[in-house]
Amino acid sequence: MSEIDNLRGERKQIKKKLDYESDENRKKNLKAELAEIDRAIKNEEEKNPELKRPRGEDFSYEKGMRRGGEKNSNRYIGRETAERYANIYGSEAAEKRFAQPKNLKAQLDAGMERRAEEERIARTTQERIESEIRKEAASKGGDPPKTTINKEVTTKQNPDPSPQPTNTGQQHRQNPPNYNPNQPYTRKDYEKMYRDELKRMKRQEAYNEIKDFGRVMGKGASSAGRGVGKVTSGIWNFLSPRIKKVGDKEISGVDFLIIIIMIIHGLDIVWLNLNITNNDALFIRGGLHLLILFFAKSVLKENAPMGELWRMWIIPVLLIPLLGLGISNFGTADHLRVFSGALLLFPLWLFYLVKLKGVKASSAKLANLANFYISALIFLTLLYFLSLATQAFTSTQVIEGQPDWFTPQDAIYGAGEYLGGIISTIYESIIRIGPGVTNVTETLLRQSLGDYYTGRVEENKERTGVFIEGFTTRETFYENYPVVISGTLKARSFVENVSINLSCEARDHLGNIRQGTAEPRNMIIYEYDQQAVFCSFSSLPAGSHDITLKADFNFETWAYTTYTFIPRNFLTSLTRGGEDINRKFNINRRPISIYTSGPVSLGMDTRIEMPIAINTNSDTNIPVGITLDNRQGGMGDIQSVSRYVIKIPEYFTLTDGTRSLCTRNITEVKDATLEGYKAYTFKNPSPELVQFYMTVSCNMKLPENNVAPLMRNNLLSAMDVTIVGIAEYDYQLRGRTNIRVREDPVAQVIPNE
Amino acid sequence: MNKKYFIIIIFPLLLILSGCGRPGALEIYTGTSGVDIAFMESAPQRELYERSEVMITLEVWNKGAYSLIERDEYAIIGLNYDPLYFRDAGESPIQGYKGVDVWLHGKSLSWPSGERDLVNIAVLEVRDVPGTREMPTTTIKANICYPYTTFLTQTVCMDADIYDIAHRPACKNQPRYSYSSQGAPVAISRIDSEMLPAGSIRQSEIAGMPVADPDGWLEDIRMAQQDTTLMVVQPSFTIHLKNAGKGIVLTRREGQTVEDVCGERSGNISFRDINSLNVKAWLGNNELKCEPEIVSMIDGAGRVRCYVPRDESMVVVSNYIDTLRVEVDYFYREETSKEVRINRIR
Repeated sequence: MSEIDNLRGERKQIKKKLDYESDENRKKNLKAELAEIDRAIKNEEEKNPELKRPRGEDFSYEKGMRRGGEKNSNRYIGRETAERYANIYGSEAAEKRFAQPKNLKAQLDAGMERRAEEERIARTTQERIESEIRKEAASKGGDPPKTTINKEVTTKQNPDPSPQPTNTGQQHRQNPPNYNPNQPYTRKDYEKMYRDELKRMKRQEAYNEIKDFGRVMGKGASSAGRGVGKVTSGIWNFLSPRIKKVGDKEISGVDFLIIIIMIIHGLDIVWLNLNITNNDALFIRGGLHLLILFFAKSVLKENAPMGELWRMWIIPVLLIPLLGLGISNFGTADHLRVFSGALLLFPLWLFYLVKLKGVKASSAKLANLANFYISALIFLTLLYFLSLATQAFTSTQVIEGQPDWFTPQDAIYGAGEYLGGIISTIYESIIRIGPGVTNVTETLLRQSLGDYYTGRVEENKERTGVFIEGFTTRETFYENYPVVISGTLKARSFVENVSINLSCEARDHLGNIRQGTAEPRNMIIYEYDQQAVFCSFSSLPAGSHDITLKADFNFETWAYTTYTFIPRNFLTSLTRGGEDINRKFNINRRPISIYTSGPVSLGMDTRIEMPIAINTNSDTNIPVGITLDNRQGGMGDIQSVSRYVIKIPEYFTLTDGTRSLCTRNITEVKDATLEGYKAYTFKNPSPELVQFYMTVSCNMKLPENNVAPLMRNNLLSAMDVTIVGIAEYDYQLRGRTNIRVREDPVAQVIPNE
Repeated sequence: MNKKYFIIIIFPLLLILSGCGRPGALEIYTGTSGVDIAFMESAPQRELYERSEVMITLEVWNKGAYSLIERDEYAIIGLNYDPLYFRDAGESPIQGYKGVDVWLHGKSLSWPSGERDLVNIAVLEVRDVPGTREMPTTTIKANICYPYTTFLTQTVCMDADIYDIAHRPACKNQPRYSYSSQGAPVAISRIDSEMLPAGSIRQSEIAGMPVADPDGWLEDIRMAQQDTTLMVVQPSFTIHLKNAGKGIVLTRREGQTVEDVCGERSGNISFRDINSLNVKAWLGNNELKCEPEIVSMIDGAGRVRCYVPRDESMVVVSNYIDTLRVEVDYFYREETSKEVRINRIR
């Protein structure tokens, strides 16, 4: 610290004492001291002018220090001071004086250069504009106008001024895309434009919500992952000091990890042998493998530096069986499940850790055991896979009196075909993931847009609908010989008659379609029936063929929603008194629409909160609607809708709603099947809509004079009323299988016959 | 070790001792129940079959302290059901409405727990399950509406010594009385008592004044005028009410019958009469003025101030005990429900 700094520090101390001193004598002494120090400072400043502080400024370095603190002053306040100092004494002196950051000189120089450059640009621009104006004026004749450009082109004091708002308060309204100023728009057109715009905005909102949802889910998933990681680290930290020995040998973390992995793979084998391949078991197994991931991270962190590479490898490696799990849910082939099961059988972890990364167990015995385990499991996996693939070729079907034996080449070829079948099914399933996700997104979108009603399927003792089961074969077929595939058709319904028409076709790998013969062609099901069905072809060319059995039938799906009504006065009084109506009267806030099981889902409008307040001195309008959609995961499509029906109690009337479908196509029909109810039908909607969901919405009106009979003259209660929605439609169900037709062995032996 | 034995021995002893009490004491004015209703387990059963008849039977039990035994005081029981699944098999005087009148004694010496009865309220026919539904579930609801009164009697001190001058007053005003229940669904939870000073009066009276001789012996009694100051107080009581039951309170007005509020004419009652009630109070034989006349219950609680009108303020020569009697009149409505499943037979 220099002499002048010491003096300044002393001056500061004396000033402080002076502020607090009350004794006059002491004050006098302090003032004398202060004057002496000021003289000394002045002398020093005269000797070294560069040390002189700019006076008369409205800042001080001490103030800056107090304001910014010791920590910040050099970075912020000091810099400001340094800049001012630099303007007077130059940047070298400023840097020396304030002991500033290393590149202060460079910064100050850069700042000064920038300002100089801006001034130069401003000057040249101004000169250029002025010369252009003069030229223009000269060409037109007359004096050049006085320019006011100086105001616009000035050196900006602040290099980054905040943008000034322009046209605030004025909304720039854009015309619609197809706006034609020559064609006048009617009110309807404007309403349509408005509705389209509203829809677009809602769609955008819905997309944003879905994106946000995805983001939140992603964050949640990563937090959950971190949580699991912490839990497993905690468990490992708890266990590791306690797991010291097995017998006489000390075991390390890696040993423990290897043992755990072997146990989990052992469980995989047991599960597979017990043929437990249902979804729950597969997910548990996948979960256990995920757990290994977190344990491995904890163990390997302290035991073996794996580097960052393992993160890249483990996750995709682990995801393969989990992907197989997911794919198996989309696909329908059993071999997919087997495939994913086999993949889990493979000792991925051990293989990766021991063989690829060279992690070693502390004891030789354990290392040998791990190696043997890996080899055994790899061998088992291959055997398992091959056995499945060659099952189709162990047939002893007799063809023309000669037993059919398979050759090793057949087995390899068959295994290859089998693998090819798996790969193509996986490929198809992956392709279906995209539309599946889009479907889910679309459904969410529809729900948010308000024109898609949902429901819950009734849980029946037995499934209702039409089902094709067992439409598969393991037979070997040959060219020039009939091909017959059988299955079972089951139907269960509470509808009077279900009339089913059957047909079948074969599609080869080139896309050629050949019609087959389905037997029986027609069936009529009364409540419950099951029959064997056959799909036959006189012959099919050699190669792989997709056989599809189609069942066209009529069906009905019913949906039921219970609304709860309460007089408005009663509801208002209770609400005003702070009562929870739903709790008081045991009313579900959101009603659930139940639809009967079948190939389609039928939802009803359940967005209104219960109970619904009804007016006793005026009419009440309540929205009601139904949505028909192809059931997710169903193996068929709606071909056409015969009619929609809505049944409501006789006290209500269905009137036009906001949807054109209701306005134009609603008809009340006489329906004696349900006493006390009225039925309304809707004409067929556009045929193109059958590929998507279909919604009809209307208003249900309750006239004021029907309130008392509806409530059974008890206006201090809540009344439950069930609304019924029915969809009658034609549906096509499909059963699929794949066969392989081999070349005619007789023709090969005796080609000329 | 000693601590362990202490806990092992003393704790169970304490538990046993806490169970001791006056045996057989009948507590009539306790509890927060009025007239409770519940479906019988087998009427209706939980599993029903279409095209069958089902009897609806309710257990009705007056657990409160007020008896519904007068000719014009009874409970009306109603039934609500989904017309999609049920139809009335019997005959009803009102189209679709089932109302059954019930009279029941409350708790008393003759009915220590209150009177209980089983009431067959309706016979319903289960309709064919419409459409393709296999096992629909639906809810049957029963409601009961009845007039009731909550009684409370409390001794209070007419305390004129509001400045606490008296050396040994006969009683002292207690500012707050708390209660839990009075044997009715509407309970008085608290009474805040205030003896508001309403001035004082000077009273002159001719009284015998003793005259003593110089030695202090009584010589003569001379009649002379004596002035005394008497405090005038205006007793005021803030009564806090609570809807302790699970139902709804309805106002009971003069001249209203049960049918007007609980029956088919219930649609005519004003919305102001829902969730409100009226209170009457007496101090001794004097009826107090209660404000507001109709007390609204907000979030299940209400408050009313009952006081002696200013022009009827009471002169209290010296503190004495009087009786405060409170009656809360109302109609009470409760509901119960039962979920049933209907099975197909076709």
